[in-house]
Amino acid sequence: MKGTVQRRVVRPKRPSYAPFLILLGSIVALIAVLASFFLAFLFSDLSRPNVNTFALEVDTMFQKAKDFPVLGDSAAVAVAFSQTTGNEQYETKRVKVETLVPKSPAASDSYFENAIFIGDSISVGLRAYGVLPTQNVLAEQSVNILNLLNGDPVYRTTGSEKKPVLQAIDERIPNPDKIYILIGANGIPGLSNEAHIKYYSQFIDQLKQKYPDAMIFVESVTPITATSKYIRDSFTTEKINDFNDKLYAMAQEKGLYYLNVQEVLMDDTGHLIADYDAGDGMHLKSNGHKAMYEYYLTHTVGPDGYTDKIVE
Amino acid sequence: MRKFLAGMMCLVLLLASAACSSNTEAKNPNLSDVIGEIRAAVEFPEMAEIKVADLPMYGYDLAPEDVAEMQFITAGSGFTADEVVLIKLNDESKAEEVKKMAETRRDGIAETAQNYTPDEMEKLTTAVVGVKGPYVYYAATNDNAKAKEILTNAF
Repeated sequence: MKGTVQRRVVRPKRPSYAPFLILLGSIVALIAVLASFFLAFLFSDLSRPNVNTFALEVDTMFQKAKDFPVLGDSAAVAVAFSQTTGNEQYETKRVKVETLVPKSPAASDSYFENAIFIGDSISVGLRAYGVLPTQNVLAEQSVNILNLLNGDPVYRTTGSEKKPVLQAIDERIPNPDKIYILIGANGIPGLSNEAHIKYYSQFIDQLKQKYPDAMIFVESVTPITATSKYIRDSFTTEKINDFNDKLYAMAQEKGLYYLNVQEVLMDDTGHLIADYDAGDGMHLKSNGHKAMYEYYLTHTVGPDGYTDKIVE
Repeated sequence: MRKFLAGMMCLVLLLASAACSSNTEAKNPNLSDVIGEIRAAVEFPEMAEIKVADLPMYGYDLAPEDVAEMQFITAGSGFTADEVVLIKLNDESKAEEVKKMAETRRDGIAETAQNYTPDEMEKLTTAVVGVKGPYVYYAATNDNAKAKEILTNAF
């Protein structure tokens, strides 16, 4: 009909929930991210005590508590302690050492401060197990007397380059006052004992020429087990013992000291004590090296050539 | 509705980026735990622990201040090639150089082992050596495959 007025009906606008949902979703996301970081922190290493620092502190305390040779466990420390503090229980006699070094009350580890120990793989454990400071030990696999005599590069001092023995000694302990030699196991299979000792004697001459004031201690080759994997016709307990006899004779002739370290590693049958065997019937576990070290400590010679021999 | 969907998409993208960022962060393993895991999983002979100060004696030309953290164990008896070395360097740029030191040491041991202890050659020819960030690792063990698995997961 004409004249009808149309009125617009304005309905109230329905509120939009989208901004609210976006805001809520962002808050939830933020909380989720924060929660994941928090959970990661809870299970991370940051929340754990620093095991390495703790272990170092314990080790440091243990070392400081000991005023005796570093042997690495309380049992070995107890042995050294009883020997150094139990001196009064021994009767001793002051004797001049000719060749075979007799047993004496244990010296302190400072006795070896300026000493160098030369050896093959059997001596590796002396430094690896911390029985002696690394600085005082030259030891590598497969070293034999000809390597030493001929100046072959066989010992690492620092880095990967190997050096001849005399150069290696200079780099480690210039002018050593004591030189310990444990060599022979690698040469015995390939050499006659007579030839072996001849080369050994020539090497001693080189050492004496370079270090005229050093005390030289030659050590008996260590024993093997009856079932060692290295046993063959050319490498037996009998041949090792014969070599040691000839080594002793050479030491007498040249005025050296002889350490019969074999005796502390040997059982009643003349073989390596099974408990010291590292697995191949010849190389030693840490307890074997500790036994050797105790032997060194209790078989010493003063600068005057005398020692307080224990009278048993 | 469109705004609601846009908001949900933002939320999903936000959560996804958070997850991805956590996967690309460098791991920071405790080296003592890593070596403990290897020792638990692999058979070793009696091992000796080597100190940081003695690293040069073992072919690693590093000063104590170069090393943030280290675990170094080696067969102390002198006749087997078992060895695990884990080093965290303070200067990540030296990592490749230190890896070469590990390889040189391995090759030197192998040269001797060839004639002296040929049974040990397997450990050396399949030895694990690697670099991840500031970490350098080396393992020559009775089970190098297992050692490699643990080291790969750790770093």
